[in-house]
Order: sequence, then C-alpha cells, then structure tokens
Amino acid sequence: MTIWQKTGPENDVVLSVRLRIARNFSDIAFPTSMNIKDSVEVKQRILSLSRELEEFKFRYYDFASISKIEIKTFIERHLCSKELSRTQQMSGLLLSTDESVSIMMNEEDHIRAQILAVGLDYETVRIKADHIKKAFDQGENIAYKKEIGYLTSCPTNLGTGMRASAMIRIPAIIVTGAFKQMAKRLSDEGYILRGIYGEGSASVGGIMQLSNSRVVATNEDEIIAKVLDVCMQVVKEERQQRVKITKKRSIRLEDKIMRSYGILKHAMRISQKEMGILVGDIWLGKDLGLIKNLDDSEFMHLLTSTHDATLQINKGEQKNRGILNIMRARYIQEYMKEKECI
Amino acid sequence: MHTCEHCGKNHANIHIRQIINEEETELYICSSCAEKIQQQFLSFLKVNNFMTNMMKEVKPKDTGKICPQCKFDIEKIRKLGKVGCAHCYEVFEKELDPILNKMSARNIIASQKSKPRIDIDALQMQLNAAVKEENYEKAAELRDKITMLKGESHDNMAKNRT
Repeated sequence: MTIWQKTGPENDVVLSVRLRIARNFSDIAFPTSMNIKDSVEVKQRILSLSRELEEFKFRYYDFASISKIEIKTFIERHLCSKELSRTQQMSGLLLSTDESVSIMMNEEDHIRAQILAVGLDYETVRIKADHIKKAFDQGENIAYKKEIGYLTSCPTNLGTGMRASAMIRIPAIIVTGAFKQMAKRLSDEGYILRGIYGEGSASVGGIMQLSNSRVVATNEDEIIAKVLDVCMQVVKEERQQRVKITKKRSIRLEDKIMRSYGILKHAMRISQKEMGILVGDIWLGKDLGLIKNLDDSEFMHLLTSTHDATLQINKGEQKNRGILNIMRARYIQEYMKEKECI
Repeated sequence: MHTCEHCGKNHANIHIRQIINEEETELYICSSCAEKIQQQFLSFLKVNNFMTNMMKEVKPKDTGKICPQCKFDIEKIRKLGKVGCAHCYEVFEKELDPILNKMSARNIIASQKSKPRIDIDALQMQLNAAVKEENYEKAAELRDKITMLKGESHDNMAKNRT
C-alpha cells in the first residue's frame, strides 16, 4: 500500500508535504562536473549507506539500465524530478515501498532525499528525515564546512541542505479571484506558488506547489515552523472561499462542474490535459457537496494514474497517443462506476 | 495591425499581457520572438538563475584560479550558477564570499549536526576512565579535546540564535 491511498490532516487543502535533504561527498566531483566512473562510485556509496535504512524497504532503480518510459512514470507520480532523467546514464533512484521516501542519486547533488507525507503532516516527515540524515551523515567525506554548513552544487542550498514544501489544492481561491492577493502576500513572506510539475509548469485542478523562494538564514526547526504557519494560512483562506462559493450557489460554476462530470462519465476519448482540467472541476464539485462518493485520495489517484507513461506501463505495451486517450477515458469511466461516484 | 515590438520587422500575431505585482504590461510580438522570450522567461523562473543573476550583480573577480579537483574556474561557476565540487568552496572562497554574504549563508549554521555531541559524550566517558586509571597524560589530552569541541558547539549555538 502506498501513502497515496491514505488521507492526512487538512487533506482537503494540503495534499502532501515534502522535505528535501541535499548532501554531497567532498572527495568526488559534484554532478555538475562528474564523469561516469564518479557516478558509479557515488551510487555504490549511497547504496551502502542506505543499508542502515532497512525500515524503508527501498527498491533500487539504476537509471542507466531502465527504460525512459519507466522513468517518466516516476516523474508523473512526483517520485523524482525531471532533472534526474536528464542525466540518465549517471543517475539512480531508491524508492521506499510506500513511496514516501525517494533518494535521488546524482541529480544536482550526489544525494537528494525527498520525504513525503499525505496531508499537513510535517511531524511524520521530520521523523523520517532525521533517520535518513543520521544514516548519511555517518558516511565518510560528507561535504561540510563549519561556517557555511553542508556543501551543495548550488550555493542557494548551503546551510542545512534542507528545504520544505507543500502540495496544496486551492481551486476556490482561484475561482473567486482571491488568488492574486494571496500570491502577493505569500511572496512578501518569501514563498512562491508554482504548477505541480515544477518550474514553469501550469496549474492543474488548482493544485500548486508552495515552496520558499528566498534564501533565509534559518535552522531546520525554523524552516518547518514557518512553512507550517504559511500552510495553515492557506488552508483557512481556501476553506473560507469554499464556504463563500457554496453559499452563493453560482449556477454558472455548478453548470461547469456538472458538465465536466458528464464528459468524464461518458466521453470515449480524453487527453491528458483535458483530464487534468475535468478532474480538477469535479474535485471542486466534491468540495461544494455536488459530487459524492470520491474522497481526496481517490481524486489524487485518478489524477496521477491516468498520465500517459503510467497508463502505458500498466498496460505493458507501446501505445500511441490516440489509443492512450481512449484507454484513459475508459479507465476513468470504470473507476467512477466502481466507486459509484454521483 | 501591429508590427512586432521585439524585432520590429515581422507582423505581430501574439499579444502578451503580463501582470506582476498589479502592474500590467502589454506586448505585441511575432511568433519567433515569442519563442525566444518564453525561453528567457522560463529560465528566469529557475532558482538556479537566481544564482547566476546574483553572480552578475556581484561580479566576482576572475583571478585565473582553477579548482584542482573539478577543473572549474570562476567563469564556469558564474555561467552555471553552481560549483563543480566541494573543493570549489575552498579554492574560490574569496570570490564566492560576497555572494555568500549577500545570501546571508554565512549565518546559516548547518543543521544541528549530531556528530560533535556524540563525540563529547564518548570522550567524557574515556576521560573518566583515564582519571580512574590515573593516566593523567591521556586525561589531559582528552580534556583539551572536549574543551575544543564544546567551544565549537557553543559557537554554533550562539550563531543559531542570531
């Protein structure tokens, strides 16, 4: 069972939270300048250090020997970054069975551990992050300098080597136009909102990634306390806006939601892009009490399991886009029928 | 009918409206210029470019130094916005200093690094044992080590508080 089948605190707005930890070995060139031989050495060292982390039951994927399409499914499910696939020959991924922990090898830094939890649950990610840090910091030659902390490829990550972010769903804030004001307020506090597939990507279903834009001199506790506070602000605001919309009963908005529902339930072909928009619409429909019998984790499943590469891998054959669109429509229909979504 | 405001030659078939901090700008451009602009815009969004921008602003001096481990020079670091290896932070300490100061990275003290604490506890036990055995030479050595480590971690804590 993966963590995505569970729900967590404030899950109606905060889909997941993430901590990212960066570490490097001081005696090997960073991925910015390394050669294949270096990369193999790094992978071996990480594998041996991760033996301390049995609790996560890691599976190892050496990107030099798996297919591009398999790598793409990891990106679609937010288990690794796009950047990791760009250095395919050199990179690798350790993935815990519940998919809550992924350790990227030779992305921008030698080690990039990502720890996820469903809902606004920094408590759980913090505990896991501490175990992971302990295992890696035991390693020899972890790059560290007294005044500037853990050494990273990009000086913006110096210091604790840790960053915190959250995946939030704010359709009501977007629909009511309160977004502009909130984005400004967040940016004043040093946080930015981006589309879910990282830099430069658009928002799907009001889902955005919240992370800090500014490089601030803080310790780990402060980083987490701050992002928690910002998330709570967003949760409050989004809930208020949802109540506002529900009270207002805009026939235009409800019509749009029910039309999207109709298409998802009956259409024979749906593209990945259209799917994102439609699922986003009916998800908002759930928030407003119009759509029943699907919970937040099921919506998340619908959204992530119907992307091109994931569909293709599940069916095991090479398919062209047209066929994938048909498969997608069929999958969604069956899923909604099975859950008796009305 | 507009001509492209970017190249001034082609017919403008794209209209860009941008709102940043409530300030609205409009731009009429042709599709080939739009592609260029989009690329610039996307790269601007990248955090790494925050670094390269900062490098441009601070303009670290090129002293012709080359990192012996990764063979990077300051020009390469400037271009990538990234260093090539851990040694770069030693080799280019002076050059990177103004940037690190600007980011206030100097004040960031790495996460509660657990190593020294454990070391102190272990050393303390060894010290007690040495005193018991009346091995004063060893005890003095251990005592100095502990004082040094304690000094460091106090140092860290003081910086953490600021």
